[in-house]
Amino acid sequence: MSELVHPVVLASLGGAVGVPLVRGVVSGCVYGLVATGLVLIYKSNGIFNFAQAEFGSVAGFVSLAFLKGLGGFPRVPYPVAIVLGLVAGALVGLVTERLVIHPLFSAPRATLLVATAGTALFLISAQALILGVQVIHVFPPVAADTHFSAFGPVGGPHAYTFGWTEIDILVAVALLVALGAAFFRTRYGKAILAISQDSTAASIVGIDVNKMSALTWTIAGLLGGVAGVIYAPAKGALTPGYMTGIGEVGPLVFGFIAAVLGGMTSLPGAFVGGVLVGIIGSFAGAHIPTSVPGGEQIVVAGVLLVVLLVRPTGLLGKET
Amino acid sequence: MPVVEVEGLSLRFGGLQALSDVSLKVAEWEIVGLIGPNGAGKTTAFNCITGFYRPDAGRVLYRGSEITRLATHERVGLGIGRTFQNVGMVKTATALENLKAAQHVHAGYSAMAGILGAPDSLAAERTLTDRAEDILELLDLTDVRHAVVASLPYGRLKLLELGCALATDPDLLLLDEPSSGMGPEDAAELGDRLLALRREFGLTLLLIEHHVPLVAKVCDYVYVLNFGRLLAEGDPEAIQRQPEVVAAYLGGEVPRDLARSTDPGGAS
Amino acid sequence: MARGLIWALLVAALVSVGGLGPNVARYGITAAIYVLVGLSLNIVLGYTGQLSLGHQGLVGVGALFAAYLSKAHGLPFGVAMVVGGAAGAVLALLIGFVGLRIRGLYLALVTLVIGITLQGSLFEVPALTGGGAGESANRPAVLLSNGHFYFVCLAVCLVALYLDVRLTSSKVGRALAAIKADERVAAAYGVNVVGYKLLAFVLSGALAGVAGALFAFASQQFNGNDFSFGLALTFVLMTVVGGAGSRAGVVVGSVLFALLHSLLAQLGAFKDFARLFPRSVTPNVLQFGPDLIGAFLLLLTLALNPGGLAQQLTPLTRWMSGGSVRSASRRGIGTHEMEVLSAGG
Repeated sequence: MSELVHPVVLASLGGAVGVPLVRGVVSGCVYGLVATGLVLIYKSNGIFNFAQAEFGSVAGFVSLAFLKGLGGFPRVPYPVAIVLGLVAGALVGLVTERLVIHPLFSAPRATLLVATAGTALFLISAQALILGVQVIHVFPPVAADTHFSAFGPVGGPHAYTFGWTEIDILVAVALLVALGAAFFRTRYGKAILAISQDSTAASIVGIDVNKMSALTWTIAGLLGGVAGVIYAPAKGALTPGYMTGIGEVGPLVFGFIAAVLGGMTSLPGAFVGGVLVGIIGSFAGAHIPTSVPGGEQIVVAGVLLVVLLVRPTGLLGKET
Repeated sequence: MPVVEVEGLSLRFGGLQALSDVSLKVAEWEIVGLIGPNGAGKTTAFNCITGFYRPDAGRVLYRGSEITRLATHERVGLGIGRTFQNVGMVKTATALENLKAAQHVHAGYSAMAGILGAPDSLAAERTLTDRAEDILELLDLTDVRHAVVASLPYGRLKLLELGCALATDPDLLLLDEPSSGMGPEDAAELGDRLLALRREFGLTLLLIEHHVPLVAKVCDYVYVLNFGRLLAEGDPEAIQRQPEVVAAYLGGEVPRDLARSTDPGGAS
Repeated sequence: MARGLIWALLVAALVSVGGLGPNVARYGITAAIYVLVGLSLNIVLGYTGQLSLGHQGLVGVGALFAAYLSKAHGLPFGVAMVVGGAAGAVLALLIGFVGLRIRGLYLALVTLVIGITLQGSLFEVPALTGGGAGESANRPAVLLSNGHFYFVCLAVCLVALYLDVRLTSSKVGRALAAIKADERVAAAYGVNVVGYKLLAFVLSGALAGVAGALFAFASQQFNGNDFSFGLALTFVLMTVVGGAGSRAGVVVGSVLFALLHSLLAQLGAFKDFARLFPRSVTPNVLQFGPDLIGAFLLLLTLALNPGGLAQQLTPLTRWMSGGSVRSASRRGIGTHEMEVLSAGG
């Protein structure tokens, strides 16, 4: 589908720039989704939600179970499996809010922070417990036979070969952005924004903070779930806690970095931050020789460090 | 030579000019008052003298040497002690622990010696405890030596904080509203105590105060700040009568009938 | 009288662990290493109130250098331990410098990222780790027996505990407590805030590095995967469940988490519980059940008892060390300390 890319653009962008860029955007979308979920929770509860990525891991595994008919689940077509996975993600978000966050509502922020970390560990252990680590669970790519390419023919030396999996990522994100923009114009959306600014004032005005908190976490669970199910086919072999990254660096860390870089203040900012991180990491990965392990992480972590040292509240952050 | 001298101090926070060209000095063994309405910049001036803020312009001199850029803990080592407006101590620790902590600069042993448990550090610890006990006795606080600071009533809290400031073995003591929350009798008692402490320890004092009778009783000299500027300075009695000073507190033009006289005991 | 008896029993128990065979000694070794890490994290988190969550990186660095230098350059065991400690100290110093600018929750994040990045990068460098299988760190002949190695670990623990006691009862402990409570107050007391924060990190790093070196020699191998995000969280959990800021609490919490895996797997009741699950799941329950339980314990602790085990232990530890059971308590990471921790960023 080289027709997708304007001939002038094709001509002026070499494989050295174009391919990492597109790759970065694609993975950046996943990071951006994680980051958006993190900022949403930060605005509503004032903490980093360490469990944000696990909403995605759970969604991914639930989708997989329905896709392959594992463990007694009925086999369903791809789209249905995805939706069920999303539902699972949203549910986990809701349950976390009800069982962990709500009871600790008046606790200091550090307590809540550690509680989300505990929740993350709990979810990861639960996944490991149920799925085990002996069997490798492979999430099949979307429409495995169809391939497209940009910047050259399929499989060509400087081409970026992609399939519906990657297109799905971009489509999902576009849909979400549209949905999100629409949602935050609704009553509920505005209520959530109000609470994030001042929960006391919001409750005085008649907003049910309790209900809104549950809704916020459900949405965060959904966002995490989307990240989990669109990342799953791209990653292929899933392990328990794959979104958090056990034994390797997962989207959670990049999502955190993106959220912090964006200053933890705006949802679109967080998403853009995620895409940026994806691009930076992608370029780092493309240009750092493989003899240096973890080059991508080093560069991204380095960027985070430099930014925070120069502006301790993040690129767009406000002084607390 | 004055113990502390501040020349042309200016400091801006974003859109607010907190201090504008403020100059003051305190001579040895003087008790000087720094008064003015809330938000006048008095605590900001303190913070510049003690090193919590760096001024945009101006100098801070201690016994003739410039200390404008010196770190706070080094100024403590030179002999500048202070208290805070909303009581600065380690609230979760006991009174005794705070008094020992405040002697940090004069602990008499190095950090490594402390960690390794060198014998002279153990002996030094005993000295620290003794000195802490002395201060407790001086301020009639011996009964609360093991009480957690957060549990102390306000009056004793302020007194203990004064004790901690004394524990740093200062030559110059900056007290930020030491009488806040006190009634007239307690304030008078504080005044006596401050005078006694000056005598006993050879202290020089700079006070931020709102309590007019206390200022009148205790201060040898007074500076008035308003909106970050030095409004007036002089003898406490005379200062109170100056119409600009009264107006600053009342927040308006100088009323004609107040221009004649001001009753020092009545104004609060 | 009773007090002395309890102390004697404790000492006897500790000593006997080394003599009851290699398996029991293995538990002892693991527990001792976790205690060292707990104490290390406690210095920075509990005493100084700095939210450093990348401690597994410090432990890993110590393990890496100890293993590498002993294998590739034939460094003797004792020297390798010191090098491990030094490596941890240097890395911690760097983190400390970062922590001077970045506060609170952001510092937590940065330290976490540093730890994870290390795991993905430095810990994977083939030259240092001898390839995917991990660099090996072979124990000297006299320490080949687990029992003997346990005694070495126990000795290191005791030294660390001694230093910790000395630290808290000296001006250093008071300075750190002041910094944790309010840095302005600390400065007003004459404490060099920057210097002492860095000192806390260096001490913490040294302890963690030594723990890492012991770990490398205990498992006789270095494997980067051992030092992941999960381990970072585990370390924080055990410090919080134990009660950050309280030495006894942290020790108990560390031992608990170290043994959680091993003990639960041995416990007959737990095995029966695991068998309740479908056959394919049982081994997973045995392997990951303890993690699950650990996480659950943490959440329970936070909800019911923010001071952690320390709160429960205070009367006991006070009695053991000769004080009165009822004196004013300030141990543990209660809500006030938690507030202070969240005051930054």
